[in-house]
Amino acid sequence: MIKYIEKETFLHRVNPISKLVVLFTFAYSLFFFNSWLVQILALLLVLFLYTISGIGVSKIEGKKFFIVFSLTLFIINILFIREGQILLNYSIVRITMDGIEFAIFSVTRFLAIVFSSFLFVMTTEPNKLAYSLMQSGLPYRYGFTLVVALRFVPTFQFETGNVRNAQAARGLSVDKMSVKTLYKMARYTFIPLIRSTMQYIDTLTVSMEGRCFGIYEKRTYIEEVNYEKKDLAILSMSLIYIIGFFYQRFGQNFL
Amino acid sequence: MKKKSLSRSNKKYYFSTKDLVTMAIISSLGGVLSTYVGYLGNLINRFFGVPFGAGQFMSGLHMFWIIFAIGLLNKKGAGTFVGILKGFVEFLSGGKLGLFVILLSGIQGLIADLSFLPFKKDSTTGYVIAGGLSTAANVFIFQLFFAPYEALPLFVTISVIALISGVIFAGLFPKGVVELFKTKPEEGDKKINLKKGITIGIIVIFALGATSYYLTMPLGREGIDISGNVENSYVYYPSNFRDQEITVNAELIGDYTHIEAKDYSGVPLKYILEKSNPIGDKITIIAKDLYQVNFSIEEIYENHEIIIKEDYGSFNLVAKGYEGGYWIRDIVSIEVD
Repeated sequence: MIKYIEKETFLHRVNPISKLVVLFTFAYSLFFFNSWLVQILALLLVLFLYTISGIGVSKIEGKKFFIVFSLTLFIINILFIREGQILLNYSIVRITMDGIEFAIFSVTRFLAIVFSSFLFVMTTEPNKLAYSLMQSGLPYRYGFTLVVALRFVPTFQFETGNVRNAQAARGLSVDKMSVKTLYKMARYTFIPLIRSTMQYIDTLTVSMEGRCFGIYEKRTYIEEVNYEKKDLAILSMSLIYIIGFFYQRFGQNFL
Repeated sequence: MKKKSLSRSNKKYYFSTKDLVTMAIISSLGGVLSTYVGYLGNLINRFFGVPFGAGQFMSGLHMFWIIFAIGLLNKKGAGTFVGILKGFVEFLSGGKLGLFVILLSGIQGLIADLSFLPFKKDSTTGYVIAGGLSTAANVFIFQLFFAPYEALPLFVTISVIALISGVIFAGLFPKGVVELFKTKPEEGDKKINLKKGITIGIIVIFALGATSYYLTMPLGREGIDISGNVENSYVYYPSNFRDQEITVNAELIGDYTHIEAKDYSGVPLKYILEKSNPIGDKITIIAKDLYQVNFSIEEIYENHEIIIKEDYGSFNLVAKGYEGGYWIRDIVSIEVD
């Protein structure tokens, strides 16, 4: 599981909101560049950031998934895009330059977005993100849901493990692959977990209401998540980039 | 004074504290179980020998949580909220779609919310349409952003698989689970708002409804479904068997639990089964947590001291002479095979 890795690098020290804005800007703009070369450069940039964050590409989990998924995506695009300069024409297989370019484009864009997201996760403390969002104007009642949701992730991982172990102990089999079997598997896993969540919901609600959660419109924080000069600089650069990007892309005909 | 301001404060929010906690916890569980859903999807992919695609058959389970939250809370916007929150949980837990999952899950939640709008809150059609459409939407959104299914036949096939998955796993399944878990409001919570003009006619309708409800169902009691290979499926209510109650003295000897011999009063399982005229020769007693035990009909008929005892609305089996594991608690159904 990919999670926050505590370190003292530049990327770790940047305010989570600034990082989130950069991530959104980066991912969003990738969808508007049609050049495969830009997508490759973006992916290389992300991999470079892994190095300077002191984390390293080796920390990316699920490499097998990404290799299989990327290869499949690559092959499907090569086989189904038949326009452009023909490089190979054998029987029904036709490989074209456009196909190869689009395949590279799709795969690198996917990897750039996912890997940059992973980098964000590995350099950002989740609770700090939630508190930053609240301090930046997100109503704290809603922000608190994110804190609660993240707080229960380890609990539910543990309970899911318990349920699956119980299933294994009772010999629940998946040998017969049918809709009914899958439905039963899902049911046997979900229902015990939901039952246990209902208890958490009741307990937590009583506890929060007992402490008058929500009585005030604003709340105070023990720890303030501050914006330093670098954060403001990053936010300003992102804003300039977005405005410039939109102007270049859509605005020239209107101004 | 404080109390007054608290009550005013609670009313000003569209989502109550309990709604928020419910949505947070459902999102958390949904985020955690997305890995498990991925595992089920991979099982199918492996079964069909394809790298991806067939796993879409399980994609409805990703939407299960959003539809479940809508059904449980019955508030507009709950689907979108849970969608975004679940997306955040998956994103921050290192989900394989990265930042994109927030967008994907949020849009799916929005589609689910919108799909529910024309339907009544407990409408099965609402669940089926919301589940089907929002699950199929994942293929469209994914195609829009990453174009993995360039060939139209492939795209249509995957969309249809997702739609079917949505109907089953995000429509019918959450509908059943919501019915299982939805708490009925207590009498004290039923408020009649006279200011909004509840007419005498509506009160009469309520009264007639309540009368018919209580005439057909014993007051305040849950029952046990007796079904399967029987001539007469029915719901067992202890009030219908009061004159057949007996008292047995039994000792519970389990692996971890030991209760000294004491008296238990309840209805012999034999009588409960006889009323259904069983055709099969084996029964499975199923508890709320899906724990189950089996008996042969023959041993039930021979042993009058296996009884079902009611404890404050839940039903427990007292199986004298059997190991503790057979003393099943919170029985919800008995199936005859």
